[in-house]
Amino acid sequence: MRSRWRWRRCLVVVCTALSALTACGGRSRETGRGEATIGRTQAEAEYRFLQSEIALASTDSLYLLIDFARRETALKRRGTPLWSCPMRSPHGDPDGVDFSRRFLGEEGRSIRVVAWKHLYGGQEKIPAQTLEIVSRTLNADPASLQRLLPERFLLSFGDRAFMEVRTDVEGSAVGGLENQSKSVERTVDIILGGASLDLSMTGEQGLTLYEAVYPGMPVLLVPPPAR
Amino acid sequence: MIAGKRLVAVFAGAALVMMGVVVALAARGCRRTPEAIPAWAAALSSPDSLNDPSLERELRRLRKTVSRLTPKGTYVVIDTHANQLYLRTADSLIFHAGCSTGAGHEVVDTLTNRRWVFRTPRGTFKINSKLADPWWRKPDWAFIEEKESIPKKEADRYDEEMLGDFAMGFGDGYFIHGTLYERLLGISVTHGCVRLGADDLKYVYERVRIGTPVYIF
Repeated sequence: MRSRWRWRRCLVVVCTALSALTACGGRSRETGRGEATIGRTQAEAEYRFLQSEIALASTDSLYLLIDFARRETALKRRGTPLWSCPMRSPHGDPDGVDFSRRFLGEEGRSIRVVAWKHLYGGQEKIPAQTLEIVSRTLNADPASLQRLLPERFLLSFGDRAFMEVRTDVEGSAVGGLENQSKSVERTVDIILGGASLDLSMTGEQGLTLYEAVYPGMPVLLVPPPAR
Repeated sequence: MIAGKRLVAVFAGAALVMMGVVVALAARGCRRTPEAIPAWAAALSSPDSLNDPSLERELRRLRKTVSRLTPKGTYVVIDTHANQLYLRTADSLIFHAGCSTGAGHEVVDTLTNRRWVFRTPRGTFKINSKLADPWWRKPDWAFIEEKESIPKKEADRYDEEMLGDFAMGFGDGYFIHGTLYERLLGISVTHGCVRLGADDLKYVYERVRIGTPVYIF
């Protein structure tokens, strides 16, 4: 009786040890494979990004960089940073995960082009009085000399990926009926699975970005680092 | 017989426990704490990457190529949209100042039908001249714009104050120079050159060299 009891105890100990070891070994293998996958994925993402950057830098065109690794938007030419603005996302998708997924698509393409841009409203930068004197001296159209500090604008990168920029400027509407139609278009696209990166910046930063960006401009994305 | 079976079972159990302990210790030794390793370092030291040295080699080569794209030292950037001049390196902004760039207007000589459009050129340039106390040789359009007759004598074309204390040429007759109209800085009013205030001009002049890249967008 006593020996049978010992035999059972022995079996319980062995089984417990085995199950514990199996669980431990399984977890360690899982963790190892997970790290490798992230490492591999990131290495491949960096490889794609570097190749895209080299391709864009071989042209003379200005391109927009949305860099979640450095948390900034930048304008570059020939690989050289010309202008940059820290990424401040007041709401929506601050880590840019959804936006990046949408931008990269299933094929993981890191380059897109600006499909269109739309200015909702802005504030005149140069006082009318100054502008009148200057335009008279230069014999130039005052409207061509004026600069509009944007209050809010929208960039579309196609395939339901948007960037909306709001600035600290309070301006008046300039887009007319198109303001409503673009808002509706964006809302519907987001409901249908699109994504928007919402940024805030100063009026001057907004002016540079809005004016420098043009339809057909290449846009390069550095996705957020994998966690 | 039964005692023999028990003995085998106990030995088998003990052997399994020992093996498990060895495996667990080995696994712990190989495992890294992910938080301690930067993402990219982790990527390159992960087993899959190590098994694929070509990817690692290629990444190193591409990183080097990209780092070579950016100028090594200081360069000038001119933002014609916001009328700002930046002095910067690849990693940091050294200085920025309000400037004035081309108005984009047009002057036509009705007598000869010549036409000039005053835009600041966009693209990549280099500083190719540095002048202290520069004189401006007024071209024909300057007289036509002022509705004056074009002078016969060359000496009547020179203006020693218009360009300020310094001028830095970046090709095709375009300069970064000073101005008599500092209150108009920040507005696109020039004939294509880039105007700076006196103090900012001196600062930039002292820090750029012949060959310093100038990027205009």
